[in-house]
Amino acid sequence: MLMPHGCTASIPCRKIIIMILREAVELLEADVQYTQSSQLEADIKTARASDLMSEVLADDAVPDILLTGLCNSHVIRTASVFGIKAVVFVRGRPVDHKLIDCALDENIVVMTTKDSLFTSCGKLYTAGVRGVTENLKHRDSAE
Amino acid sequence: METRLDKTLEILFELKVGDAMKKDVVTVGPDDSMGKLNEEMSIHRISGVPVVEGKKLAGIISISDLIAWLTAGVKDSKVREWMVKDPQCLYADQPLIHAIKRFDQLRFGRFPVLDRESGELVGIITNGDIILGTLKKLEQDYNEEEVRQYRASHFFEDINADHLDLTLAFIISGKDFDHAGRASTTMKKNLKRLGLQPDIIRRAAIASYEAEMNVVIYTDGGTMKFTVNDEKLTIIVKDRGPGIENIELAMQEGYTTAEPWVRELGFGAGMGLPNIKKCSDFMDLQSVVGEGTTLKIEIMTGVHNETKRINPEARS
Amino acid sequence: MKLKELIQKLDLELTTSPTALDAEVENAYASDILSDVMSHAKEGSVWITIQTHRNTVSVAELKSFAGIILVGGRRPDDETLKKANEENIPILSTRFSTFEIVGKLYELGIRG
Repeated sequence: MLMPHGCTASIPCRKIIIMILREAVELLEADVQYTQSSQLEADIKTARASDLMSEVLADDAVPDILLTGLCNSHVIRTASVFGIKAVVFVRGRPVDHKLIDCALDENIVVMTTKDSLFTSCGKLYTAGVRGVTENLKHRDSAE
Repeated sequence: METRLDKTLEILFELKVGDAMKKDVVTVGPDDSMGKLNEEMSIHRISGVPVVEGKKLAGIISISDLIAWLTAGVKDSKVREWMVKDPQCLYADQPLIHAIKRFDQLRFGRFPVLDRESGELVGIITNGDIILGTLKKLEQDYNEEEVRQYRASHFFEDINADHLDLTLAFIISGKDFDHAGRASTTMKKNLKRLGLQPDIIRRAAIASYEAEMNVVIYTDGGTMKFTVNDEKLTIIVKDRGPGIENIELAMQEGYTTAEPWVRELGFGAGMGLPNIKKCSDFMDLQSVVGEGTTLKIEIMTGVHNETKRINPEARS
Repeated sequence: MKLKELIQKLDLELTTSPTALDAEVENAYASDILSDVMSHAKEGSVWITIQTHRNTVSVAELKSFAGIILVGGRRPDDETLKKANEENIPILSTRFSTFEIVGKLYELGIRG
Protein backbone atom coordinates (compact mmCIF):
# COMPACT_ATOMS: atom_id res chain seq x y z
CA MET A 1 0.00 0.00 0.00
CA LEU A 2 1.59 3.19 -1.13
CA MET A 3 0.05 6.43 -0.02
CA PRO A 4 -0.76 8.63 -2.99
CA HIS A 5 1.01 11.93 -3.05
CA GLY A 6 -0.55 14.55 -0.83
CA CYS A 7 -2.55 11.97 1.09
CA THR A 8 -0.28 11.97 4.11
CA ALA A 9 -1.91 13.79 6.96
CA SER A 10 -0.34 16.99 8.18
CA ILE A 11 0.05 17.36 11.91
CA PRO A 12 -3.38 17.44 13.50
CA CYS A 13 -3.61 20.39 15.81
CA ARG A 14 -6.26 22.84 16.97
CA LYS A 15 -5.79 25.19 14.06
CA ILE A 16 -7.52 23.68 11.04
CA ILE A 17 -5.25 23.79 8.03
CA ILE A 18 -7.26 23.64 4.81
CA MET A 19 -4.25 23.77 2.56
CA ILE A 20 -0.97 25.52 2.09
CA LEU A 21 -0.16 27.62 -0.94
CA ARG A 22 2.05 24.91 -2.43
CA GLU A 23 -0.97 22.57 -2.49
CA ALA A 24 -3.14 25.25 -4.11
CA VAL A 25 -0.48 25.56 -6.82
CA GLU A 26 -0.63 21.80 -7.46
CA LEU A 27 -4.43 21.76 -7.43
CA LEU A 28 -4.67 24.55 -9.99
CA GLU A 29 -1.74 23.15 -11.98
CA ALA A 30 -0.44 26.67 -11.79
CA ASP A 31 2.92 28.05 -12.86
CA VAL A 32 4.46 30.08 -10.09
CA GLN A 33 5.93 33.21 -11.67
CA TYR A 34 7.36 34.79 -8.61
CA THR A 35 7.76 33.72 -5.01
CA GLN A 36 10.15 33.39 -2.16
CA SER A 37 10.24 29.72 -1.23
CA SER A 38 8.93 30.16 2.32
CA GLN A 39 5.82 31.92 1.03
CA LEU A 40 4.55 28.67 -0.46
CA GLU A 41 4.10 27.34 3.07
CA ALA A 42 1.46 29.97 3.87
CA ASP A 43 -1.96 28.70 4.97
CA ILE A 44 -4.80 29.17 2.53
CA LYS A 45 -8.20 29.27 4.19
CA THR A 46 -10.05 31.99 2.29
CA ALA A 47 -10.18 33.24 -1.27
CA ARG A 48 -11.74 36.05 -3.27
CA ALA A 49 -12.46 36.16 -6.99
CA SER A 50 -12.93 39.50 -8.73
CA ASP A 51 -11.91 41.48 -11.76
CA LEU A 52 -12.74 44.78 -10.10
CA MET A 53 -10.00 45.83 -7.77
CA SER A 54 -12.10 48.50 -6.11
CA GLU A 55 -14.53 45.82 -5.01
CA VAL A 56 -11.72 43.91 -3.40
CA LEU A 57 -10.48 47.02 -1.64
CA ALA A 58 -13.94 47.75 -0.24
CA ASP A 59 -14.20 44.37 1.53
CA ASP A 60 -14.26 43.96 5.29
CA ALA A 61 -11.95 40.98 5.46
CA VAL A 62 -8.68 40.09 3.78
CA PRO A 63 -8.61 36.81 1.82
CA ASP A 64 -5.50 34.64 1.74
CA ILE A 65 -5.56 34.44 -2.04
CA LEU A 66 -7.01 36.51 -4.88
CA LEU A 67 -8.11 34.99 -8.20
CA THR A 68 -8.65 37.28 -11.16
CA GLY A 69 -9.02 37.42 -14.91
CA LEU A 70 -7.49 40.85 -14.90
CA CYS A 71 -3.80 40.85 -15.67
CA ASN A 72 -1.92 44.01 -14.84
CA SER A 73 0.32 45.51 -12.17
CA HIS A 74 -2.66 47.04 -10.39
CA VAL A 75 -3.76 43.65 -9.24
CA ILE A 76 -0.39 43.33 -7.48
CA ARG A 77 -0.61 46.82 -6.02
CA THR A 78 -4.14 46.12 -4.81
CA ALA A 79 -2.96 42.89 -3.20
CA SER A 80 -0.11 44.75 -1.54
CA VAL A 81 -2.28 47.61 -0.31
CA PHE A 82 -4.94 45.25 1.01
CA GLY A 83 -2.53 42.70 2.46
CA ILE A 84 -3.25 39.70 0.21
CA LYS A 85 -0.32 37.29 0.01
CA ALA A 86 -0.90 35.56 -3.31
CA VAL A 87 -2.54 36.23 -6.66
CA VAL A 88 -3.73 33.69 -9.24
CA PHE A 89 -4.09 34.92 -12.81
CA VAL A 90 -6.55 32.68 -14.61
CA ARG A 91 -7.05 31.51 -18.19
CA GLY A 92 -3.33 31.39 -18.93
CA ARG A 93 -2.92 35.11 -19.38
CA PRO A 94 0.73 35.97 -20.04
CA VAL A 95 2.28 38.07 -17.29
CA ASP A 96 4.73 40.73 -18.43
CA HIS A 97 7.97 41.75 -16.78
CA LYS A 98 6.40 44.93 -15.39
CA LEU A 99 4.00 42.81 -13.40
CA ILE A 100 6.76 40.53 -12.16
CA ASP A 101 8.90 43.54 -11.18
CA CYS A 102 5.95 44.87 -9.26
CA ALA A 103 5.43 41.52 -7.49
CA LEU A 104 9.11 41.47 -6.63
CA ASP A 105 8.80 44.94 -5.16
CA GLU A 106 5.69 44.18 -3.18
CA ASN A 107 6.64 40.60 -2.30
CA ILE A 108 3.42 39.05 -3.59
CA VAL A 109 3.30 35.46 -4.87
CA VAL A 110 2.23 35.41 -8.52
CA MET A 111 0.96 32.35 -10.36
CA THR A 112 -0.89 31.61 -13.56
CA THR A 113 -3.27 28.78 -14.37
CA LYS A 114 -4.79 27.66 -17.65
CA ASP A 115 -8.14 27.10 -15.93
CA SER A 116 -10.93 29.67 -16.10
CA LEU A 117 -11.89 31.72 -13.08
CA PHE A 118 -14.93 29.47 -12.63
CA THR A 119 -12.95 26.24 -12.67
CA SER A 120 -10.16 27.57 -10.44
CA CYS A 121 -12.63 28.76 -7.81
CA GLY A 122 -14.58 25.51 -8.06
CA LYS A 123 -11.47 23.41 -7.44
CA LEU A 124 -10.37 25.44 -4.42
CA TYR A 125 -13.88 25.51 -2.97
CA THR A 126 -14.23 21.75 -3.31
CA ALA A 127 -10.92 21.38 -1.46
CA GLY A 128 -12.35 23.33 1.49
CA VAL A 129 -11.22 26.89 0.83
CA ARG A 130 -13.99 29.36 1.65
CA GLY A 131 -14.91 32.91 0.74
CA VAL A 132 -14.23 35.70 3.20
CA THR A 133 -17.88 36.45 4.00
CA GLU A 134 -18.74 32.82 4.57
CA ASN A 135 -15.68 32.50 6.71
CA LEU A 136 -16.69 35.52 8.81
CA LYS A 137 -20.22 34.19 9.22
CA HIS A 138 -18.94 30.78 10.13
CA ARG A 139 -16.69 32.30 12.76
CA ASP A 140 -19.50 34.45 14.13
CA SER A 141 -21.83 31.52 14.53
CA ALA A 142 -19.08 29.43 16.10
CA GLU A 143 -18.50 31.96 18.81
CA MET B 1 30.23 33.51 17.74
CA GLU B 2 28.91 32.54 21.14
CA THR B 3 25.76 34.60 20.75
CA ARG B 4 25.08 32.96 17.42
CA LEU B 5 25.43 29.49 18.96
CA ASP B 6 23.10 30.50 21.77
CA LYS B 7 20.63 31.52 19.14
CA THR B 8 20.93 28.13 17.39
CA LEU B 9 20.41 26.33 20.67
CA GLU B 10 17.36 28.45 21.34
CA ILE B 11 15.97 27.50 17.97
CA LEU B 12 16.57 23.82 18.62
CA PHE B 13 14.40 24.11 21.71
CA GLU B 14 11.82 26.28 20.02
CA LEU B 15 11.37 24.32 16.79
CA LYS B 16 9.40 21.10 17.03
CA VAL B 17 10.08 17.85 15.20
CA GLY B 18 6.84 18.56 13.30
CA ASP B 19 8.30 21.83 11.98
CA ALA B 20 11.38 20.26 10.43
CA MET B 21 10.12 16.82 9.35
CA LYS B 22 9.15 15.87 5.81
CA LYS B 23 5.38 15.57 5.58
CA ASP B 24 5.17 13.86 2.21
CA VAL B 25 6.21 10.39 3.23
CA VAL B 26 6.60 7.47 0.91
CA THR B 27 5.31 4.42 2.75
CA VAL B 28 4.87 0.72 2.04
CA GLY B 29 2.44 -1.82 3.47
CA PRO B 30 3.62 -4.94 5.33
CA ASP B 31 2.16 -7.16 2.61
CA ASP B 32 3.88 -5.37 -0.26
CA SER B 33 6.57 -7.41 -1.95
CA MET B 34 10.25 -6.73 -1.38
CA GLY B 35 10.51 -6.22 -5.12
CA LYS B 36 8.12 -3.32 -4.92
CA LEU B 37 10.06 -1.86 -2.01
CA ASN B 38 13.21 -2.06 -4.12
CA GLU B 39 11.43 -0.16 -6.89
CA GLU B 40 10.09 2.53 -4.59
CA MET B 41 13.45 3.09 -3.00
CA SER B 42 15.16 3.57 -6.33
CA ILE B 43 12.38 5.76 -7.77
CA HIS B 44 12.36 8.10 -4.79
CA ARG B 45 16.10 7.73 -4.05
CA ILE B 46 15.50 7.07 -0.39
CA SER B 47 17.26 4.71 1.97
CA GLY B 48 14.48 3.95 4.44
CA VAL B 49 10.71 3.61 4.33
CA PRO B 50 8.12 3.42 7.14
CA VAL B 51 5.79 0.43 6.93
CA VAL B 52 2.20 1.45 7.52
CA GLU B 53 -0.80 -0.74 8.20
CA GLY B 54 -4.08 1.14 8.34
CA LYS B 55 -2.80 4.48 9.52
CA LYS B 56 -0.57 2.98 12.19
CA LEU B 57 3.13 2.46 11.92
CA ALA B 58 3.93 -1.26 11.76
CA GLY B 59 7.66 -1.01 11.25
CA ILE B 60 10.47 0.51 9.30
CA ILE B 61 12.58 -0.96 6.55
CA SER B 62 15.87 0.35 5.28
CA ILE B 63 18.36 -0.27 2.53
CA SER B 64 20.35 -2.63 4.78
CA ASP B 65 17.25 -4.83 5.15
CA LEU B 66 16.87 -4.75 1.38
CA ILE B 67 20.47 -5.81 0.90
CA ALA B 68 19.96 -8.62 3.41
CA TRP B 69 16.97 -9.82 1.37
CA LEU B 70 18.88 -9.60 -1.93
CA THR B 71 21.82 -11.51 -0.43
CA ALA B 72 19.53 -14.22 0.94
CA GLY B 73 18.15 -14.69 -2.58
CA VAL B 74 14.61 -15.44 -1.37
CA LYS B 75 11.99 -14.66 -3.97
CA ASP B 76 8.36 -13.60 -3.32
CA SER B 77 9.21 -12.23 0.05
CA LYS B 78 7.07 -9.70 1.85
CA VAL B 79 8.11 -6.50 3.59
CA ARG B 80 6.67 -7.89 6.85
CA GLU B 81 9.40 -10.56 6.97
CA TRP B 82 12.33 -8.15 6.68
CA MET B 83 11.19 -4.95 8.37
CA VAL B 84 12.21 -3.85 11.84
CA LYS B 85 9.12 -4.12 14.03
CA ASP B 86 8.18 -1.51 16.66
CA PRO B 87 10.77 0.99 15.52
CA GLN B 88 12.02 3.89 17.58
CA CYS B 89 9.87 6.95 16.88
CA LEU B 90 9.68 10.61 17.61
CA TYR B 91 6.58 12.67 18.29
CA ALA B 92 5.73 15.75 16.24
CA ASP B 93 5.45 17.94 19.35
CA GLN B 94 8.92 17.12 20.70
CA PRO B 95 11.57 19.83 20.47
CA LEU B 96 14.26 19.36 17.83
CA ILE B 97 16.94 19.16 20.49
CA HIS B 98 15.36 15.91 21.66
CA ALA B 99 15.56 14.53 18.14
CA ILE B 100 19.25 15.43 17.94
CA LYS B 101 19.92 13.53 21.17
CA ARG B 102 18.14 10.47 19.84
CA PHE B 103 20.07 10.56 16.58
CA ASP B 104 23.25 10.82 18.61
CA GLN B 105 22.34 7.95 20.95
CA LEU B 106 20.97 5.50 18.41
CA ARG B 107 22.91 6.46 15.28
CA PHE B 108 19.82 5.87 13.11
CA GLY B 109 19.51 7.47 9.71
CA ARG B 110 15.89 8.47 10.21
CA PHE B 111 12.98 8.41 12.62
CA PRO B 112 9.31 8.04 11.77
CA VAL B 113 7.32 10.87 13.37
CA LEU B 114 3.98 10.17 15.07
CA ASP B 115 1.18 12.38 16.25
CA ARG B 116 1.05 11.94 20.03
CA GLU B 117 -2.74 11.84 20.34
CA SER B 118 -3.70 9.62 17.43
CA GLY B 119 -0.49 7.61 17.22
CA GLU B 120 -0.63 7.97 13.45
CA LEU B 121 2.37 8.49 11.20
CA VAL B 122 2.61 12.15 10.20
CA GLY B 123 6.14 12.45 8.83
CA ILE B 124 9.73 11.32 8.75
CA ILE B 125 12.85 13.11 9.90
CA THR B 126 16.53 12.78 9.05
CA ASN B 127 19.61 14.62 10.29
CA GLY B 128 19.51 16.63 7.08
CA ASP B 129 15.97 17.82 7.83
CA ILE B 130 17.11 19.08 11.22
CA ILE B 131 19.97 21.07 9.72
CA LEU B 132 17.73 22.48 6.99
CA GLY B 133 14.96 23.39 9.43
CA THR B 134 17.39 25.14 11.74
CA LEU B 135 19.05 27.07 8.93
CA LYS B 136 15.67 28.18 7.56
CA LYS B 137 14.59 29.43 10.96
CA LEU B 138 17.92 31.21 11.49
CA GLU B 139 17.53 32.94 8.15
CA GLN B 140 13.96 33.91 8.93
CA ASP B 141 14.89 35.30 12.34
CA TYR B 142 17.78 37.18 10.79
CA ASN B 143 15.49 38.76 8.20
CA GLU B 144 12.98 39.75 10.85
CA GLU B 145 15.74 41.32 12.94
CA GLU B 146 16.97 43.19 9.91
CA VAL B 147 13.49 44.53 9.22
CA ARG B 148 13.12 45.52 12.86
CA GLN B 149 16.39 47.45 12.89
CA TYR B 150 15.49 49.07 9.60
CA ARG B 151 12.28 50.35 11.06
CA ALA B 152 12.23 54.01 11.89
CA SER B 153 9.69 53.71 14.66
CA HIS B 154 12.00 55.51 17.06
CA PHE B 155 12.08 58.49 14.71
CA PHE B 156 9.56 60.55 16.62
CA GLU B 157 11.14 59.76 19.98
CA ASP B 158 14.67 60.56 18.81
CA ILE B 159 13.91 64.03 17.58
CA ASN B 160 13.02 66.63 20.16
CA ALA B 161 10.45 69.27 19.40
CA ASP B 162 7.14 70.40 20.81
CA HIS B 163 5.54 69.46 17.56
CA LEU B 164 6.89 67.38 14.70
CA ASP B 165 5.41 66.77 11.28
CA LEU B 166 6.94 64.52 8.66
CA THR B 167 5.81 65.38 5.16
CA LEU B 168 6.42 63.39 2.00
CA ALA B 169 5.20 64.49 -1.38
CA PHE B 170 4.70 62.65 -4.66
CA ILE B 171 3.92 63.79 -8.18
CA ILE B 172 1.15 61.83 -9.91
CA SER B 173 1.03 61.75 -13.71
CA GLY B 174 -2.39 61.58 -15.30
CA LYS B 175 -3.16 58.48 -17.45
CA ASP B 176 0.20 56.94 -16.56
CA PHE B 177 -1.01 53.47 -15.71
CA ASP B 178 2.43 51.90 -15.53
CA HIS B 179 3.39 53.92 -12.48
CA ALA B 180 -0.05 54.35 -10.94
CA GLY B 181 -0.06 53.26 -7.31
CA ARG B 182 3.62 53.96 -6.75
CA ALA B 183 2.99 56.81 -4.30
CA SER B 184 0.63 54.72 -2.19
CA THR B 185 2.75 51.58 -2.04
CA THR B 186 5.87 53.63 -1.29
CA MET B 187 3.99 55.44 1.43
CA LYS B 188 2.74 52.17 2.84
CA LYS B 189 6.34 51.00 3.26
CA ASN B 190 7.27 54.29 4.93
CA LEU B 191 4.40 54.00 7.37
CA LYS B 192 5.53 50.49 8.21
CA ARG B 193 9.01 51.77 8.99
CA LEU B 194 7.50 54.43 11.20
CA GLY B 195 5.94 51.63 13.22
CA LEU B 196 2.28 52.50 12.74
CA GLN B 197 -0.27 49.83 13.61
CA PRO B 198 -0.92 47.39 10.74
CA ASP B 199 -4.67 48.07 10.46
CA ILE B 200 -4.08 51.83 10.41
CA ILE B 201 -1.47 51.34 7.68
CA ARG B 202 -3.90 49.20 5.71
CA ARG B 203 -6.70 51.76 5.89
CA ALA B 204 -4.29 54.54 4.94
CA ALA B 205 -2.93 52.51 2.03
CA ILE B 206 -6.41 51.69 0.67
CA ALA B 207 -7.65 55.29 0.93
CA SER B 208 -4.45 56.60 -0.60
CA TYR B 209 -4.46 54.05 -3.42
CA GLU B 210 -8.06 54.78 -4.39
CA ALA B 211 -7.31 58.50 -4.36
CA GLU B 212 -4.18 58.02 -6.44
CA MET B 213 -6.03 55.89 -8.99
CA ASN B 214 -8.68 58.61 -9.27
CA VAL B 215 -6.00 61.14 -10.17
CA VAL B 216 -4.50 58.77 -12.75
CA ILE B 217 -7.81 57.74 -14.30
CA TYR B 218 -9.78 60.96 -14.36
CA THR B 219 -7.37 63.89 -14.31
CA ASP B 220 -4.41 65.43 -16.06
CA GLY B 221 -2.22 64.70 -13.05
CA GLY B 222 -1.56 66.19 -9.65
CA THR B 223 0.25 65.81 -6.34
CA MET B 224 -0.11 63.80 -3.17
CA LYS B 225 1.21 65.01 0.16
CA PHE B 226 1.39 62.76 3.19
CA THR B 227 1.92 64.36 6.59
CA VAL B 228 2.47 62.17 9.63
CA ASN B 229 2.72 63.20 13.24
CA ASP B 230 2.10 61.38 16.51
CA GLU B 231 -1.61 62.17 16.27
CA LYS B 232 -2.69 61.61 12.69
CA LEU B 233 -1.84 61.01 9.06
CA THR B 234 -3.10 63.64 6.63
CA ILE B 235 -3.24 62.95 2.91
CA ILE B 236 -3.84 65.88 0.60
CA VAL B 237 -4.48 65.04 -3.04
CA LYS B 238 -4.61 67.89 -5.53
CA ASP B 239 -5.21 67.58 -9.24
CA ARG B 240 -5.26 69.95 -12.19
CA GLY B 241 -8.76 69.20 -13.35
CA PRO B 242 -11.20 68.73 -15.00
CA GLY B 243 -13.03 68.80 -11.63
CA ILE B 244 -16.13 67.01 -10.37
CA GLU B 245 -19.50 68.43 -11.41
CA ASN B 246 -21.67 66.91 -8.72
CA ILE B 247 -19.80 65.85 -5.59
CA GLU B 248 -22.86 64.40 -3.90
CA LEU B 249 -23.45 62.11 -6.86
CA ALA B 250 -19.78 61.20 -7.06
CA MET B 251 -19.87 60.04 -3.44
CA GLN B 252 -22.66 57.55 -4.16
CA GLU B 253 -21.62 53.94 -4.32
CA GLY B 254 -21.77 52.62 -7.87
CA TYR B 255 -21.91 56.06 -9.51
CA THR B 256 -19.21 56.36 -12.14
CA THR B 257 -18.19 58.39 -15.14
CA ALA B 258 -15.45 55.95 -16.07
CA GLU B 259 -14.93 55.12 -19.70
CA PRO B 260 -14.99 51.46 -20.77
CA TRP B 261 -11.17 51.22 -21.02
CA VAL B 262 -10.94 52.14 -17.35
CA ARG B 263 -13.44 49.45 -16.46
CA GLU B 264 -11.48 46.91 -18.47
CA LEU B 265 -8.51 47.71 -16.23
CA GLY B 266 -10.59 46.76 -13.21
CA PHE B 267 -11.33 50.27 -12.01
CA GLY B 268 -14.10 52.79 -12.39
CA ALA B 269 -16.78 50.78 -10.61
CA GLY B 270 -17.86 53.80 -8.62
CA MET B 271 -16.46 52.44 -5.38
CA GLY B 272 -13.42 54.66 -4.93
CA LEU B 273 -14.71 57.70 -3.09
CA PRO B 274 -17.13 55.78 -0.84
CA ASN B 275 -14.28 53.43 0.03
CA ILE B 276 -11.97 56.33 0.85
CA LYS B 277 -14.64 57.66 3.19
CA LYS B 278 -15.02 54.26 4.81
CA CYS B 279 -11.29 53.99 5.46
CA SER B 280 -10.70 57.49 6.76
CA ASP B 281 -11.60 59.27 9.98
CA PHE B 282 -12.18 62.54 8.18
CA MET B 283 -12.64 63.30 4.51
CA ASP B 284 -13.22 66.53 2.64
CA LEU B 285 -13.66 66.91 -1.10
CA GLN B 286 -13.60 70.31 -2.80
CA SER B 287 -13.82 70.73 -6.54
CA VAL B 288 -14.06 73.50 -9.10
CA VAL B 289 -15.00 72.42 -12.60
CA GLY B 290 -12.32 73.47 -15.05
CA GLU B 291 -9.76 74.00 -12.29
CA GLY B 292 -9.34 70.90 -10.23
CA THR B 293 -10.14 68.88 -7.13
CA THR B 294 -8.63 68.82 -3.66
CA LEU B 295 -9.21 65.81 -1.47
CA LYS B 296 -8.21 65.84 2.18
CA ILE B 297 -8.11 62.59 4.13
CA GLU B 298 -7.26 62.23 7.80
CA ILE B 299 -6.55 59.02 9.61
CA MET B 300 -5.87 59.03 13.34
CA THR B 301 -2.66 57.22 14.16
CA GLY B 302 -2.91 57.04 17.95
CA VAL B 303 -3.54 53.63 19.51
CA HIS B 304 -6.59 54.89 21.41
CA ASN B 305 -8.37 56.04 18.31
CA GLU B 306 -8.23 52.66 16.68
CA THR B 307 -9.97 50.86 19.51
CA LYS B 308 -12.70 53.50 19.63
CA ARG B 309 -13.36 53.33 15.93
CA ILE B 310 -16.14 51.02 14.84
CA ASN B 311 -13.98 48.93 12.69
CA PRO B 312 -15.37 46.14 10.55
CA GLU B 313 -12.10 44.35 11.20
CA ALA B 314 -13.08 44.03 14.84
CA ARG B 315 -15.28 41.14 13.85
CA SER B 316 -12.37 39.04 12.74
CA MET C 1 -29.51 20.85 -14.28
CA LYS C 2 -32.39 23.20 -14.99
CA LEU C 3 -31.98 26.85 -14.09
CA LYS C 4 -34.95 26.72 -11.74
CA GLU C 5 -33.35 23.85 -9.84
CA LEU C 6 -30.20 25.93 -9.39
CA ILE C 7 -32.32 28.81 -8.11
CA GLN C 8 -33.94 26.57 -5.56
CA LYS C 9 -30.80 24.69 -4.48
CA LEU C 10 -28.67 27.80 -4.10
CA ASP C 11 -31.43 30.00 -2.69
CA LEU C 12 -31.00 32.55 -5.48
CA GLU C 13 -33.34 35.50 -5.68
CA LEU C 14 -35.09 35.94 -9.02
CA THR C 15 -35.21 39.65 -9.81
CA THR C 16 -36.80 39.36 -13.27
CA SER C 17 -40.15 37.93 -14.44
CA PRO C 18 -40.38 34.17 -13.93
CA THR C 19 -39.80 33.17 -17.54
CA ALA C 20 -37.15 31.09 -19.33
CA LEU C 21 -36.32 29.14 -16.16
CA ASP C 22 -36.43 25.71 -17.79
CA ALA C 23 -33.13 26.17 -19.60
CA GLU C 24 -30.71 23.33 -19.05
CA VAL C 25 -27.46 24.63 -17.50
CA GLU C 26 -24.18 22.77 -17.85
CA ASN C 27 -21.61 25.52 -17.97
CA ALA C 28 -20.85 28.74 -16.21
CA TYR C 29 -18.47 31.63 -16.64
CA ALA C 30 -17.31 34.03 -13.96
CA SER C 31 -15.98 37.41 -15.01
CA ASP C 32 -16.54 41.11 -14.45
CA ILE C 33 -14.92 42.13 -17.72
CA LEU C 34 -17.44 42.29 -20.56
CA SER C 35 -14.95 41.84 -23.39
CA ASP C 36 -13.57 38.74 -21.63
CA VAL C 37 -17.06 37.26 -21.37
CA MET C 38 -17.78 38.08 -25.00
CA SER C 39 -14.69 36.30 -26.25
CA HIS C 40 -14.42 33.31 -23.88
CA ALA C 41 -17.72 32.24 -22.31
CA LYS C 42 -19.58 29.27 -23.79
CA GLU C 43 -23.07 29.87 -25.18
CA GLY C 44 -25.84 28.79 -22.84
CA SER C 45 -23.74 29.37 -19.71
CA VAL C 46 -24.84 31.11 -16.56
CA TRP C 47 -22.73 34.18 -16.03
CA ILE C 48 -21.53 35.14 -12.57
CA THR C 49 -20.62 38.80 -12.23
CA ILE C 50 -20.75 41.88 -10.05
CA GLN C 51 -21.61 44.13 -13.00
CA THR C 52 -25.17 45.45 -12.84
CA HIS C 53 -25.37 47.85 -15.76
CA ARG C 54 -27.47 47.48 -18.86
CA ASN C 55 -24.70 46.21 -21.12
CA THR C 56 -24.65 42.93 -19.24
CA VAL C 57 -28.05 42.05 -20.73
CA SER C 58 -26.76 42.77 -24.24
CA VAL C 59 -23.80 40.46 -23.63
CA ALA C 60 -26.08 37.76 -22.21
CA GLU C 61 -28.38 38.08 -25.19
CA LEU C 62 -25.53 37.93 -27.71
CA LYS C 63 -24.04 34.84 -26.03
CA SER C 64 -27.46 33.19 -25.45
CA PHE C 65 -26.77 32.83 -21.75
CA ALA C 66 -29.24 30.92 -19.61
CA GLY C 67 -29.05 33.67 -17.01
CA ILE C 68 -26.94 36.12 -15.01
CA ILE C 69 -26.11 35.69 -11.34
CA LEU C 70 -25.28 38.94 -9.56
CA VAL C 71 -23.04 38.44 -6.54
CA GLY C 72 -22.51 40.22 -3.23
CA GLY C 73 -26.22 41.06 -2.89
CA ARG C 74 -26.17 43.24 -6.03
CA ARG C 75 -29.43 43.89 -7.80
CA PRO C 76 -29.86 45.00 -11.40
CA ASP C 77 -30.28 48.71 -12.19
CA ASP C 78 -33.81 49.71 -13.25
CA GLU C 79 -32.75 50.00 -16.89
CA THR C 80 -31.04 46.63 -16.72
CA LEU C 81 -34.11 45.03 -15.21
CA LYS C 82 -36.37 46.47 -17.89
CA LYS C 83 -34.10 45.30 -20.67
CA ALA C 84 -33.68 41.84 -19.12
CA ASN C 85 -37.46 41.39 -18.97
CA GLU C 86 -37.74 42.45 -22.60
CA GLU C 87 -35.03 40.04 -23.69
CA ASN C 88 -36.15 37.20 -21.40
CA ILE C 89 -32.80 36.98 -19.65
CA PRO C 90 -33.28 35.82 -16.05
CA ILE C 91 -31.21 37.84 -13.58
CA LEU C 92 -30.61 36.20 -10.22
CA SER C 93 -29.11 37.68 -7.11
CA THR C 94 -27.11 36.07 -4.31
CA ARG C 95 -25.58 37.51 -1.16
CA PHE C 96 -22.53 35.28 -1.69
CA SER C 97 -19.33 36.47 -3.34
CA THR C 98 -18.15 35.22 -6.72
CA PHE C 99 -15.79 32.70 -5.13
CA GLU C 100 -18.49 31.32 -2.89
CA ILE C 101 -21.31 30.97 -5.42
CA VAL C 102 -18.92 29.52 -8.00
CA GLY C 103 -17.84 26.96 -5.42
CA LYS C 104 -21.43 25.98 -4.79
CA LEU C 105 -22.24 25.73 -8.52
CA TYR C 106 -19.12 23.62 -9.01
CA GLU C 107 -20.23 21.29 -6.23
CA LEU C 108 -23.57 20.88 -8.05
CA GLY C 109 -21.68 19.65 -11.11
CA ILE C 110 -21.68 22.83 -13.19
CA ARG C 111 -18.41 23.19 -15.08
CA GLY C 112 -16.44 26.04 -16.65
